[in-house]
Amino acid sequence: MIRLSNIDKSYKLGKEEIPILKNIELEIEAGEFLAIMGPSGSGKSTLMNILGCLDKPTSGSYKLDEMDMLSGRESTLATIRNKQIGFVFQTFHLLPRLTALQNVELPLIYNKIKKKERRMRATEALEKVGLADRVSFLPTRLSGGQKQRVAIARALVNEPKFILADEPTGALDTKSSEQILALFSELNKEGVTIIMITHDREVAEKADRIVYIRDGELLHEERGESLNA
Amino acid sequence: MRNEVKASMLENIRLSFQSIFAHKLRSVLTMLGVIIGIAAIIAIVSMIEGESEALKSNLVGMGNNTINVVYEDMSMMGEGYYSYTSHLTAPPVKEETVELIHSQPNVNGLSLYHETWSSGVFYQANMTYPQMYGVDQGYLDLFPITIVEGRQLTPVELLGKNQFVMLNEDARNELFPEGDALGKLIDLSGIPFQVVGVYTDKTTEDVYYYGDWTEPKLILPKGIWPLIAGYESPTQIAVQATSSEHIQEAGMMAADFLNADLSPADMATAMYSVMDMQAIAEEIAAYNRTFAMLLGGIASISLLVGGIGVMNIMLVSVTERTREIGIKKALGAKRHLILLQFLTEAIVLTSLGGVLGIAGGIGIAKLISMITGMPFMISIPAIIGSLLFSMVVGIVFGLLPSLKASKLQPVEALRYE
Repeated sequence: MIRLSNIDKSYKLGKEEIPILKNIELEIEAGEFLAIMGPSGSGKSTLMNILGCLDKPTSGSYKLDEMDMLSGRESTLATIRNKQIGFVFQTFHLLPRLTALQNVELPLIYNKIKKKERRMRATEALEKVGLADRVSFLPTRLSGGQKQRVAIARALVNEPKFILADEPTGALDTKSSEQILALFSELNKEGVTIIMITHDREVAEKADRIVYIRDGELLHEERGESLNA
Repeated sequence: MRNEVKASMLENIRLSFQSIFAHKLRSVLTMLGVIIGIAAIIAIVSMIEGESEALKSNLVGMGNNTINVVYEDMSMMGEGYYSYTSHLTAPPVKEETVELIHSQPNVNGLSLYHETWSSGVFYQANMTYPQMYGVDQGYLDLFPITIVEGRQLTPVELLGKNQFVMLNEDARNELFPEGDALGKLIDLSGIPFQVVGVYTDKTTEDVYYYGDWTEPKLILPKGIWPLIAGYESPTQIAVQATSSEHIQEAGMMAADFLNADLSPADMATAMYSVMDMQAIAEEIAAYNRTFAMLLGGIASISLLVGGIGVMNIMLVSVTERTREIGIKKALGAKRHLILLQFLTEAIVLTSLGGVLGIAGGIGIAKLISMITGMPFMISIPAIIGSLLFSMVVGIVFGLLPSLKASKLQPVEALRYE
């Protein structure tokens, strides 16, 4: 479903080019639960930004199904982010002045879904993550785990091609982390493709496949059989 | 689709109010420049418009939709207003002409009367130089007086030869500083006249315009006028129009009818005309408008400063909300949505300032008017203009911060702490 080939990314620092990603080759199938793992500074955040169409590589190609993800203008990229990708961030990134429901409605607003349908779909998504009784809560009244579940509902609500989760348990305690990872596994079983970026091996092991990244290069990968063994 | 745009605009406006009320003190301080600027403009315009209107109605219609038709020396044409005081003897006005003028659709009333400065009126050792009027009932209908002592001369007395006189309060005060005037005989050019009444004709507007200015006046029967003036003319002709728009028209029409009765020989030396008070009033109004624009220009500087304040706060707001912008962009918000959101906020902010400024300006004008007695008039065009102008200030000074917000890169915006 996703095909990254020959991706390079470098930043200019004065006259020097600092390479961040080198010749990344990665294929992800629909329905996969993939973890991208690496220490900080390895380039995994940059890779995630490229996968999320938040940033463009210096060279290489990125295809989602047969769609070229790199040729679009800014407004095209915004549409792709809105419809094809669901984001889950480490610090949740909920808008503090909007209720749980309004936060989940945001991607639907940008997708120009009418109010009635919007409300219905947002409520369904919150039910799915187990927050049916928290729809009208402001984020300040929710626990960390609940906030992350609102964020996951928001990521799911437009039925994207895949969910991109950047250290989704990084700001959570152990118990909440387990619940969130369980939710991801459950969603994955229902057919949702999940790409999770993490530096934590224990977290990464919940995935079917782990790819390791270090100094901007993909090193090796482990398949589910060995992980679950 | 159209409905969606409208809904998102309403949503933006709602969010703007939310964000303005979330920072009340900051918002008020930001709006202050706009509030002061608009308030100053509205107050200035209200005062000057009020002044112009009052002046116009006083000057053009003597407050009464009335205009004087003047028989004046052709050689003095253009000297204008004062020339009618030259004592020209006009031929007697025909009764039919009076009727004819009276019957015209624009004419409400008409009076032929005499008016002159007295060369001195005495009572014992007291003396004054009043303006003297020889009038009939028609005149008193056009320029009503209020009797404060004694009685008013009857219509019959006004046409008769009785040597009766009515004094205004100023004349009474000068001739009878410490006593009762009624029934006393005063001396007009050696001829005794009996005081039957004391009156006042000052309106509140007169008090505002002329203050304590006093002008002694006498009213005599028109029938006795030849006895003191020695001739029957000049005759002043006052024409009252049905409405203020027809004053000039009615006056000119009356002058034409009167001129038609004159012989060609007469016309060569003198003829009837009306002074174009409308034009004078327009000139004064135009002068006032120029003055208002000048003051308004100065007040606009405050608006400019206010606008810069709005821009400053909006830039701060964009920086504060960098992460919010990043989140929205990551979720698929397009540039124009972000731009619109911040631009709406700036416009709502300055428009709110404009509304408060308008209310404040009207309040100030009302207060000044209450204290000084100056008239004021709320000008609808000025209010609409101010509102539009404050919106424009929001657009102009909100544009830069909004563009900055819309151009933020989502990656950097999300990373911002």
